[in-house]
Amino acid sequence: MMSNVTLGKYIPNNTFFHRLDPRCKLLLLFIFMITIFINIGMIGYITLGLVMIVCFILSKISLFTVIKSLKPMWFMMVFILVINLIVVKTGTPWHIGKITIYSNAIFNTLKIAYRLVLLISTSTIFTATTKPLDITIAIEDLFAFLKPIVNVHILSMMISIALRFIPTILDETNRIMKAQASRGVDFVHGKLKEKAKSITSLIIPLFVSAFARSDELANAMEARSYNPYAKRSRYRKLKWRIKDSIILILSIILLAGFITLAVTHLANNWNGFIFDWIRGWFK
Amino acid sequence: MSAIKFENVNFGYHNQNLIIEDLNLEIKRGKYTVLLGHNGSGKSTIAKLAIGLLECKKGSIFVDDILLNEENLNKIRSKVAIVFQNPDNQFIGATVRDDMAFGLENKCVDTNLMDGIIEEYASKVNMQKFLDAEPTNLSGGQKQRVAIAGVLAMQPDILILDEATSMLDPVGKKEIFEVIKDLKQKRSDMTILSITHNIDEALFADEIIILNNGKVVKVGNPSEILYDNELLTKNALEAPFIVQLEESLNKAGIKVKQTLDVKELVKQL
Repeated sequence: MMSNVTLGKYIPNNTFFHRLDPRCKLLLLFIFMITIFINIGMIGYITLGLVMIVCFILSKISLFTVIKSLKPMWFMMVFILVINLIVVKTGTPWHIGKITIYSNAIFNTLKIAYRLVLLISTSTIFTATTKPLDITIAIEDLFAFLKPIVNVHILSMMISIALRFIPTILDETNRIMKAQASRGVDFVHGKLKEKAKSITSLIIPLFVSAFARSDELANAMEARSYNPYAKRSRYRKLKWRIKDSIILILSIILLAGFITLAVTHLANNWNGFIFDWIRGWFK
Repeated sequence: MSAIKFENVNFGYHNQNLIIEDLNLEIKRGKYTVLLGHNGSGKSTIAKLAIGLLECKKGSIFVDDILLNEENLNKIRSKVAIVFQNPDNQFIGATVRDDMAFGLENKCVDTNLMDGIIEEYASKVNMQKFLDAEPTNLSGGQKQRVAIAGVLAMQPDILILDEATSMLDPVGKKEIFEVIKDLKQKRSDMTILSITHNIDEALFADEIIILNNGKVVKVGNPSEILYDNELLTKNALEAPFIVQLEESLNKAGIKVKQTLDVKELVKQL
């Protein structure tokens, strides 16, 4: 069950994306996320989609992995579609039996779905090509300017430990589930109330064990002279190369282009043209 | 000369009764000492007190003749290293290499020197081939060897093993015993304190301390302690297998001299 999780999993390889500096990748992730949420119109989204496809090819992530990482959003998509069908009453009405649905409800859902696919794909590329430890180092480096306000090192150490303990906690969850199942707890069948009760028998021992683990880990860290406020040297150092700068500059130019598209409403003009063309097909 | 010294130490968790009362204990420098006691006898508490993870309510603790207090804590921690029971809960890095580097980072060791130190100490515990392995891909014994290498890389004067073999299978236990034996031979200046209820760990000790209910019951060398059945039984312990075998052989009329070495026993037979 636990090994099926693909979102957030590092896939070892030596591709162009794997070799990029994690700080550069983190900045690219932010730039892409900002771009996705700007109203960049059809042309913008199609361009972004093409960029994403190129990124997938360069990072050599299989299509299967991408589809698997999109799996958790199906429920959300159905929910958004239902809400849109109820709320949106504009556009061309389509009659399916006694029900009338409007074209804008479908287009809105598709637009949100497309944005979500782009968002999850970006995160998948980032996490699949960057080691968890490198992510934390990148966070520590990029947010170093916040040091006078927040101890960034503590935050990055927390993230690093959380990432390190994910497999351990998942193992523990499996163990507890098997132990409870052997004592008659049914996690699959039964009514919602019964299921909630059986989940409690998993959650409570899991929390107890997680607290015990954290206590022991804190002792082990302290015994190895760890002091988050003291000066430390660093074993892993990141290397910023020319290609990182080039990729970052290109992405910033792309972002600037999209922002111009959105601000000048050019995107909407093109949208109108494309929507008219699509509607023409449906008539 | 003592490496660790407890003088009239009292300790109890929260407002509970004292679990260690008026404890006087001395761990000799450069020796391999085994602290034996049943579960709940206060062994692990002693380890945590010695490294300042717990604070005693009364009395004084000295490490390398330095009084353990808030002021000297960092100084003492640079001299003492501890390996805990559960190998999973002391693995901090994402790989063996990163985990071993953790202590070095805390000691502000130059980054350029780290790789050399990591490789040197990983080879001491035969883990040099696993430097880039993730903790989930290692066996319990291997994880514990990494933990030992990680603390050895910090070049401590005193190594405390707090039930370091209790969660390991026989192969893992054997691996750790071999590491301890090797350390004893190659680092004769290092003090090793093994806290355990596994009596087999005491076979090659220089000194054994029996602990019961937070009090030292007896201190002696292996031949004094491990052949004293009455003492062991009173303290919920059992004689090691080799001692039991020698006694059984003698009872059966096959006379053998007391030896705690299997090879020596085989020779006699």
